[in-house]
Amino acid sequence: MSAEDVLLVGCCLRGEPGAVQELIERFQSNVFGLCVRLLRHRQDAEDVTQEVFLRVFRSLKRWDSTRSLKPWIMGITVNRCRTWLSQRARRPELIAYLQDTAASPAADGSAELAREIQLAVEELRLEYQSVFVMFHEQGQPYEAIAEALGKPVGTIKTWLRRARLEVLDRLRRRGMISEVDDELP
Amino acid sequence: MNCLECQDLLQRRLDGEAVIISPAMRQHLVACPSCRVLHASAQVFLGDLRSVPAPALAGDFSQRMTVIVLRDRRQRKRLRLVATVALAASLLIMALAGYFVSGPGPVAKVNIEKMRIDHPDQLPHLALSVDDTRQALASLSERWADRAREQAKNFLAAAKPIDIPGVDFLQDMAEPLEPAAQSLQQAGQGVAESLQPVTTSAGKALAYLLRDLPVPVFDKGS
Repeated sequence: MSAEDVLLVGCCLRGEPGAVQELIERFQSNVFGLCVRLLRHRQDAEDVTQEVFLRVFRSLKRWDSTRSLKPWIMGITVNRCRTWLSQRARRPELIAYLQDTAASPAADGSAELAREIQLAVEELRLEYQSVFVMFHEQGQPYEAIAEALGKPVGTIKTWLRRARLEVLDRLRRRGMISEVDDELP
Repeated sequence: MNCLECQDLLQRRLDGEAVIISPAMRQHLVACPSCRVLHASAQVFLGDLRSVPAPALAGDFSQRMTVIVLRDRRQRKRLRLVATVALAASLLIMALAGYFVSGPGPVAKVNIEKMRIDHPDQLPHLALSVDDTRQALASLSERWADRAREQAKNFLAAAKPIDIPGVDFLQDMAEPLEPAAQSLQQAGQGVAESLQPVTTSAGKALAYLLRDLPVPVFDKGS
């Protein structure tokens, strides 16, 4: 819990536009980044991000002020993405543009490798993807991820280890790892 | 060091811990190409992945979102107000409807009065009603009298030694009784004696009731 979060939420509950905008700006990159990785479509990710913030503000009264705000918002994000994915699976006409991912890094060597990693991550199951993106791309600690996903820290560690091994395995099968280095670290 | 220990160190390194490569680990990495490749690729997770620019939203997203959130807040407040008013109005309507629909006592009385004046032939005849009542009362009384008579007969059967005029068939039961049966018999005698005035009074009351009931006058024309 942070006193700053409590103050900000109090102002948001009073309907102060400045506080509302500040809260959105504070979390929008994390929320949108996770949505893009999980949904693999920029427009869908924008829609879900908007939906996430609407839900956050609608249920802000129910936020437990003894806990951090960020894991709570990230938990809502993962849940909305999961719901969106299940709805999208029932609409086959949308499958065609699933690979329209937002960030297309430059085509140099490291960027290409990073892109390959992202593709490998996209093939993971949703829980592994969430954990991997929140830890490796957003730099969130285990405790925050565990709180967001409502799982014990041990489970999150196990998921992350499995996710890494799967990603490495896929990179190796694509011939990406041998290009990195064969020298000792 | 084996592969399992080596992978554990790799995971710790990926968790962000500062892992020092010991001579044993270095030796294992030299001997095991699989673990060597894994350790080499760890740099990808630690460095290159975070260097990839995160997908960015449009610059005015927060402003647009703020407008949407505040508008949604106003709409929901208005909706709550409307829902509350609608609920209160529906409760009021239900209460009024209940009052006007289920409380027509005075109206019905007026209608009966009006009917008596306008259509006297359609009203039920009083004599028929009285006759029905008398018959019902008589049959009810008769049923109770039959039941009392049955019970009295049972008591009398038990109280054999009593000499009741006109009940000769009880005289045939002259065999000696056991002491327990004798006490029961005495009890039966006592009950029969105490019940006799009651049954007599009940019979007289029934006779008076039947005598005093008005004789119905039937309307030949109806």
